[in-house]
Order: sequence, then structure tokens, then C-alpha cells
Amino acid sequence: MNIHKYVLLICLMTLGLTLNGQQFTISGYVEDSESGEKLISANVFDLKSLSGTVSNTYGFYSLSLKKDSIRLEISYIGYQSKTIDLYLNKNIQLNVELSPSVTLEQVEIKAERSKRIEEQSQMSVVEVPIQQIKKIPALLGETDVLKALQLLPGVQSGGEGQNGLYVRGGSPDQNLILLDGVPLYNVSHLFGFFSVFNADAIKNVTLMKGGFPARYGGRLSSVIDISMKEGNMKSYHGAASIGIISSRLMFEGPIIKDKSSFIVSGRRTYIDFLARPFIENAFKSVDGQSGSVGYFFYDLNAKVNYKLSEKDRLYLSMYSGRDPFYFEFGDEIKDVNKNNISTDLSWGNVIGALRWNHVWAPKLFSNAHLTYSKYNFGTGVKTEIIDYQDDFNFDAGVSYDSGIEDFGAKLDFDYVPVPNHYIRFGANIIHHSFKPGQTNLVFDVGTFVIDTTLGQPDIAAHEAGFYIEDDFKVSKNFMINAGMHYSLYILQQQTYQSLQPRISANLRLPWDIALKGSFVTMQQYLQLLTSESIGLPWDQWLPTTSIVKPQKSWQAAIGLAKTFGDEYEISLEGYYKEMDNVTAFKEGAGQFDLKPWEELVTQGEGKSYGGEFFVQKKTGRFTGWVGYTLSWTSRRFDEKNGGKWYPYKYDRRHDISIVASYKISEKFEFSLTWVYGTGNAYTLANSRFYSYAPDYYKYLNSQNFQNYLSFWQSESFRSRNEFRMPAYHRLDVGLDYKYKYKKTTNTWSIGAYNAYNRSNPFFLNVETKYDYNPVTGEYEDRRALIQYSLFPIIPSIAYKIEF
Amino acid sequence: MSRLSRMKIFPFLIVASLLTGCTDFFIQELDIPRQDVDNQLVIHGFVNDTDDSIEMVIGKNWSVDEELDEAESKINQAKISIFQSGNLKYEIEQDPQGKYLKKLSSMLGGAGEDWRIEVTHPDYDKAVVNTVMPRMVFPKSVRFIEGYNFGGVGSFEEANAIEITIDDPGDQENYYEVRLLTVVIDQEELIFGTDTFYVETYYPDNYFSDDPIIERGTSGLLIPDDSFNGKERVFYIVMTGQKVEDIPVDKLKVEWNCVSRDHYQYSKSLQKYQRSSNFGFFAEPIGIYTNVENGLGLVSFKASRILDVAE
Repeated sequence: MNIHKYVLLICLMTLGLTLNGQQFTISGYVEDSESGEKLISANVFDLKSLSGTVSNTYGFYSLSLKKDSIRLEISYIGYQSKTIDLYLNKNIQLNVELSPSVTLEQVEIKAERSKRIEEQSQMSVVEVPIQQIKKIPALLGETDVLKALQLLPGVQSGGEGQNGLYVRGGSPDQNLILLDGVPLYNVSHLFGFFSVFNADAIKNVTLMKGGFPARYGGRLSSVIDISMKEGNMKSYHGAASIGIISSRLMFEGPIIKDKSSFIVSGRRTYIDFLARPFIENAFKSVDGQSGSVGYFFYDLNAKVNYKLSEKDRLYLSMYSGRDPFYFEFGDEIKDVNKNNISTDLSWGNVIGALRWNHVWAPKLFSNAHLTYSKYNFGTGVKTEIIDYQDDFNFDAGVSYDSGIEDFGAKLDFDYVPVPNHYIRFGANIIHHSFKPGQTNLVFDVGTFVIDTTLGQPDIAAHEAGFYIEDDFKVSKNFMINAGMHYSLYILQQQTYQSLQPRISANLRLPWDIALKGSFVTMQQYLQLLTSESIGLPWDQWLPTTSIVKPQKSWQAAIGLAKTFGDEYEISLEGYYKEMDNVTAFKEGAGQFDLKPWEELVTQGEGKSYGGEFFVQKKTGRFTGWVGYTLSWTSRRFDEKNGGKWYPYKYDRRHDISIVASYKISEKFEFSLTWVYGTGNAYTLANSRFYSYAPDYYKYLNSQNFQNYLSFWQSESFRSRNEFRMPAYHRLDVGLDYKYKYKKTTNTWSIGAYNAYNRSNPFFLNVETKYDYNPVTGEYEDRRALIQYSLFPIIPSIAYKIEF
Repeated sequence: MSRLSRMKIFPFLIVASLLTGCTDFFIQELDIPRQDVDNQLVIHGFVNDTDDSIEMVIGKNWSVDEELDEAESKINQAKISIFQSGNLKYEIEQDPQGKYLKKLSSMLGGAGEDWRIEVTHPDYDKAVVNTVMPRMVFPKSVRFIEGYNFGGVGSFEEANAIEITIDDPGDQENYYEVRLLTVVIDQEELIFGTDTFYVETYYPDNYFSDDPIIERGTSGLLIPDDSFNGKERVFYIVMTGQKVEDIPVDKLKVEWNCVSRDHYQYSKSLQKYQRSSNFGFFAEPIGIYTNVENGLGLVSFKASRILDVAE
């Protein structure tokens, strides 16, 4: 069936159902009664007609029912459900406020009836409550959203301490990470050890590994949709915390009660502050010398929202985060000379979003969105030499800058013609401006000055998307989410376009078991120039061009889902994914190569398949999950490994994660995480030999010339990534002690990362070792395989006060 | 549980953290996974059509957990048979100096013909190389260009360059290799007696090409003709190194090689291997190309000339 017939069919079905009987619509927002925060995915259900819906990302719901008396149950996990009896004989706007189940102890999550996993048409989606994320023990006590997601089945970390997400065999560039709907290009601080998301400012985290609805596009492997809090509409609240490496502060409250609110949240590390006096004194311990060195990172989130009317709401949000590193050194001999050298390294994101929600009609909701996102990396070195006696000045500097900047506009509509259909459609456009890397050189000796810029010019590209999707309840036991995503990409004279069908289906089997299936196709126009080993801040986002083609994928998944006893959600999924035009460095090319970037990369194919088991308990004193993944992931490039398939570095056969929190008493809560993963794949030489090549020197006479050969010790290997590092496993534990004092809630958290001090491999290297032989009295060399590890047991302590 | 007893976890954590002071945690030696090493002959030979001798280096590979120096890696008692267009042409055995060297009565020649090299040794399986001696395709012109703009931005955009025009024949697959040479007559004349010897100093790091077709190999710049087969094409070799820039044009030479596809692949891969090795943790494993069946290394037959550079 071609696309036109498909769209026509959806429209006809929608129209037919719209005309079916006299119906009225009840619509409105679902909010937290204490803060006015909109509740995402709250369940709105008519117990009489057994029809229902869920609130969207902005807390808006719309439910059309036949003229009749209705009994509406509104529920949301962690909140007391509310039941409202109404006689529906006209369109009704009803905003519903839900009260948290446990107002004093936020750590215990209770739930009334929420939408069960088997009732959702979508599959491969996990929503992790932010309260659960905050309880997961973390490295140095820094709550980390991305590391929490790494604990879910189908998601793997790149390596020890790394924030990269490898979802179902995809690479980190294939994840669409949205903060309030704005793409973030670098999500890491401190070379990937911490993520940029400050949990105090976050309301909701949703991960999609497959079965992507048509409204998402632009990446192959996952969507991570993170919503920031909006700010308390009712009263002022705040939280402050002090940890080993950083402190956080959050403040929120109404600007105009029940009409407008704000939230501001910040985080900064302070090792540089604490260490600065010691470092400066160390430099000054030598006469005439001075200097300083330091590193820190910070995040700042802010959001304001304003209720223009019952139908219009405005949201303005921003995020800014940066990692600066600096080094300065000076050496002066008074009246003789002076030398100064300084270097800096800095990277970070700035994003902003302006959103306008409008309710056009009880059945039609829209969100208009203007977005800005910028990531840049910069580094520089400056040196100054002054010779007072010879009256000579020398200044030189080199700086390097790269990054990406986006301006975007988006318009989304939610249309709920009848309870059986939830239609979304919309369009978006993004203007990308890529800076592939420019180096500025300054050289000044007074009489001779150079000030020049080398590198590649900025590149502009445009990306547009259109989509329509319908969440269609065909019958009591069968639901589908079907849609189409169209994308268009323009770079100078080059145009690419793609039509991407998406479908997910849910067939209810006996015993309330849901059989789910999905098929999606995706296309990606952004390319990340990165090493396979580790993600680094100087990784560059670059455009698809006439040479580097867009990445494509298709993924099919099938699974079973069921909720047991209102508490345990269990899902079992199998998936198969193929990827085309995946990008990687050519053999021998690297980020430090000065060639044009298109010459450094090669494109190939990838495939991934496996099974995932997930059991989650979201409510009660004991919460957490167990996840297990069995998977295979491989890559093939014409120009790598002799054109043969090889295991992707993050091909992980077994991956297990256990996350558990237990509320011991009103004041104490214990949590632990245990992870196990098959070791990463790596390449080990099979043998060594000497390679020869004609040398640089030749001797020539009138008749003849001869090559002289140079030689190098070389290695040969049978196949790439043939071997496995030792398995990775780690236990993290944490204990929270919480008490109330006056109007404040105080929490002391202690924890230990890698509690049993496991030496997990960060990387392996074959090296030459020299052993002393006491018999001969000489050192003998031998080859050894050396494992480098990063994090031993790391205790942490943090204090938090909420008011 | 009293609050006090719960607090006992603090000393435990502190002790545990102190235990981590041991450097063994961070750097550990693992057993190298056992692998069966395919013991193979490693054969290298770089033979020009104008050579009046053929020399090859015959070595062996060894296990990754051993250290061997270059001399130890060479093997004795190998026997080399060289076939030209199917006919046995030369047989080479080790000379008293340990070299596998055959003096010829004239230049090797054999352009466009198939060559087969078989190397046997009592302890190894026979290794075989099938290759071809490429036909010489002379460049149409080789010229010196002063102040060539190579597309940089700012003050460094100009440099001296060599312009090479190739009129590529369309009836065959060609691979060219270019090296810049400078001719300096110096004391080497004395060392080598009465013959007129020149020292050819070759500065591979002092020139490059901004042409996307050109790739750097271990022994020079490589030009595959697959994108301009049968057409005329101009290339520029940019000289940015101080030493090369200062050489008078009449002392500049171009070593012009028509090489086989095998040579092209090998030179490119070995160059990448060497570059990648410098990156340690970030290193990409690079397979070094070989045209030796049942062995490692490269036997390259190439047509080679030294060309003057026109002003």
C-alpha cells in the first residue's frame, strides 16, 4: 500500500468514527495539587464506558464520550487517584488536581491505578520515575540520569564511568536526547564521567529504544525525552545540597500565584576553589614564579511559565552548562625577563526553548515551539616573552574552536476526535550551523605579525520534518499506533528526503498478557566524528553531504508484557535492527588528522539483535527493577577488517542490572545497584613481524640507484574485536537518612561506588615489561597484557535540605 | 537498629577507601589469551624495472608474547624461485653475507608481464606471490610552481609546489607513487670511491598534497587512477618544509614510480598502521596489507624513474 492510500485510510476511519453518535468532550489539565506541576501520562478513565486516555507532555487530556453519565477516574503513579461523577451533555473543561500519595515521605512511591504496561500500544518504552533515579547510588554521590538509563535492558554504557548510551547496538550519536524538546549535543561533564542533567530540575524521563512514534525523527537508535520541572505555582520551595565534588541549589515558586511560576536550579563543582590556594602557593614556592591550574563544571537550568488564559500557556526554559579547564604559569626575573604561558580548554551547551500551548477546541491541542541549541568546544594556548634588557616582546597564541548551533521551530497538534483515536500531527524545521574546526594563529614579534585562521569554513544545513500518527484502539483487545514521518534535508545543492513508516501494535491475549510488535524505519542526517573507544568533548557533529550519506535503519520488535498484582511490570522483548551508512573513522584516521573530515570517515552497515527481560516494581516500600539483555551487535565496512563483519566494540552478550531500594523505616532507606556485563570486544594481535619499505635515503650513480629499506615491528591480527575484556561487574550501595526539622526536610546520604572494589577494565594494552633476572643480573624483556582500571571503591557523602 | 549502630558503616567505608591506595588496582597484568600462531614466512622485496639486481628479505613472524630484534627475525636456508610469464627466470639462495641477492647481467625489465615468486623453506609452508610489473607511464609534464595557492586561509595560503600532469592511459589500472628528492653532492663521493655518487635526501614530511585523490603512503604520495582513468589530470605537490623550499629548482628531482595495486595497498596500510600506533588507547587496529599467499609482507615490482623538474 502506498503512502497516499495509507493516509487516506486513516482519515476515513477517523471521520467515520467522529460521526458515530452524539458525543461530547471532557478536557483539561491534570496537575499536582501542591505545586501545580503538570502531570505527564496521567491516566483519565471512564469506568462506565471503559474508555480512557492519558495526559500529554503538557498535562493536557481530552476524552470524547457519548452523552451519558460518566464516572471519571484520574490516576497517576505516586498520587491519590480521584473519581468524579458527571453527566456529560456538553463539552466540559475540567482541570484535575491530584494529591501526592505520601506527602511527608517523598521517597515511598505509592500508586493507585495507573496505565498498565499491557494497556499501552507502544513498546520498548521505559519511564523511570525521577524519584527512583535520585535513589540510585551514584559515583561520588552525583545523581545521574544517563547512568540510571544505562541500567535498563537494551542500554549499555561505553565503559567504566562513561555516560555514552549504546542502545540496541547503536552508537551514542544515534540517540536523540531532548531537554524540554530541544536536542542536546553533548551530555557529559568531565570527559563523560558525569551527565549534564541536574536531577533537581527534572520532572520526567522517558526512554524509547524502538517502536518510535512518528513524531520523533532524526536519530536511529533511541529517544530520551527529558522534561524540566515548571516551578511551583502555589508556594516557594527550595533545596540545597552539598556533596563531595559539587553543590546544588534549586529554588521555585509562583511569580503570580496559580498563574505564573519559575524554577532556577544550579550546580557547580568546587574542587578548583578548594585546591586553588594550595596550587598557587606551590607555584610561588619558587622565586619569581606564579601559576594556577584548575577545572570545574557547572549547570544552570531556569524555567518560567505563564498561564495566559485557560486555553493558553507560555513556557520559557533554558539550560547552560560548561566545563572549563585552565592552566597559567609565569616566570619573571625582575628587570631581566618575563615569560607567561596559559592554556585553556572549555566545552559546553546552551539551549533555550519558548513554547506556547493552545487549546483550540476541547479535542484539539497545539504546542508551538521555538528552540535554540548550541554546543561548542574551544581550546587555546598563549605565550608571552618579554626581554626587558633587549627591549624585545614576543606574543604567540593558537586557539581552536568547533561546534554546532541550531535554530528550530516546531508545531505539534494533538487531536482526539473519539476515544479510540488519538491523532498527532505536526511539522518542524531546524537550521543547523556546523563549525567543523578552525584554528587561529597569532604571532607577534613587533616587526613581524601573523594573524591567520586555518581550517574549514562554517557549513549551513536545513532539516525539516512532517508527521502524522494515530493511536488507534481498534477493539477492546487490539490497539495500534501507526504513523508516517517525512524528513527533508538540504545542504547547499544536495537534498535528501525520506518517508519513514512507523507502526506498533498491541494484541491482548488471555490472562491480560499483551503481545506487542513494532516496525520502524529511521533516517539520520547528523554525523558524529568520534573515536570508537571513548566519547570526548572535541568530538564533532557534522552534516550529511554529497559524500557522506545519511544513516538509515529499520527495526522490528516483538514482545510480551503483563502487570502482576498491580505492582510488578514484566516485559520480554526480542528485536532485530539493521543500519546502513553508519559512520566511523577509516582505518588509521583520527581526530587529530588535519585532512578534510569527509576524507577521514567511512560508511558501512550494522546489525543488532537480541532479547530483553525487564521486571520493574514502581510502588511500595521496596522498589526497583531487574533487567537482562542477551544481544549481538556487529559492523561491516568495506575499508575495515578486510570488508568482513566484526563484533562492534560494545557487543555485549550478557548484560544484567539489578536496582533495588528498600525503605527500612520512616527515616532510613537503603538502595543498591549491581551490574554485570560481558567484557567489551577488543583486538589482539595474532603474531608480530617486521615490515619493510623503501627508505628516505638513496644512493645514485650514473647507471643505477638502489632502495634502502627501513623496517618497523608490526602486528598482524586475524579479525577485529576477536577477543573479550574481562567481565564488568560492580555493586553500588547507598543509605539515606531523612528527618524533618521545623519546616525543612533534611537528608544525609552516604554511599559507596564499586563497593567490593572490583578492578574493572577501562582499556587493555600489550606492552613490553622488563623483569630483573637475579641469576644473570640483567633485565629481561617480555610481552604482557596490561589492564588499566579507573575507579576503585569510592565512598560518598552528601547533605540535602529541602524547604 | 539504633542510629549509632547504623553509623558503623562510616568506619567501614573509610577503611575500604584506604584499601584502594594500592596501585595494583589500577594497573594489572592479565594472561595473554593463548592463540595458535600461524608460523609464516614474511617476504619483502621492492624491485625496480631498471634494477640490475634483485634482493629480498626473508623473515618470519612470531608470537605476540615474545620479543625479537630484526636480525633474529630473519631466517636462513630459504629458496626463492622467480617466474616471468610462467617460466622460471631466476633462483635465489642465501649468499655468504646472508643476503638473498641476485645480480643480473642487465636491467630486469619485464614491463607488463606477470611475475610469480615462490619461497620455500624446510620449516615453513611454501609462500607464493603473484604480481605484475607495471608499464611505465611517464607524466606529461613536471613543473615547478612558485607561490602555489593551496586553499589555506590567511598568511600560509601560498607555497612552492611541483605540478605534475598525467595523461592517464585508459586501457589499464594505474597506481602512481611520487617522491620528491633533492640532489646534493657532498662527501659521499669520497666514501664510495671514484664513481660519481650523489646523496639523495628525501623529505617526505616536508611536502603534501591538498588533492583529495592523493594519499600518503609509507614511501611517498600515492595516486590511484580510478577517478581519472583515461583522462588528463593535474596534481600539485606542495612544499611547505623549509629545507625543500630552499633547494634550487635544478636540484629538485621527482622519483616517479608506476606501482602495482598491491604496492599501493601495502604502502597505504603501513602508513596508517604507523600513524595509528601513536595514539595508544585511541589507536585503531590496522591490518597491514600483504600480497603473499600463505605468508606476510610484500613483493613489489615497479617501473621507476628519476625525473627533472622544469622551471
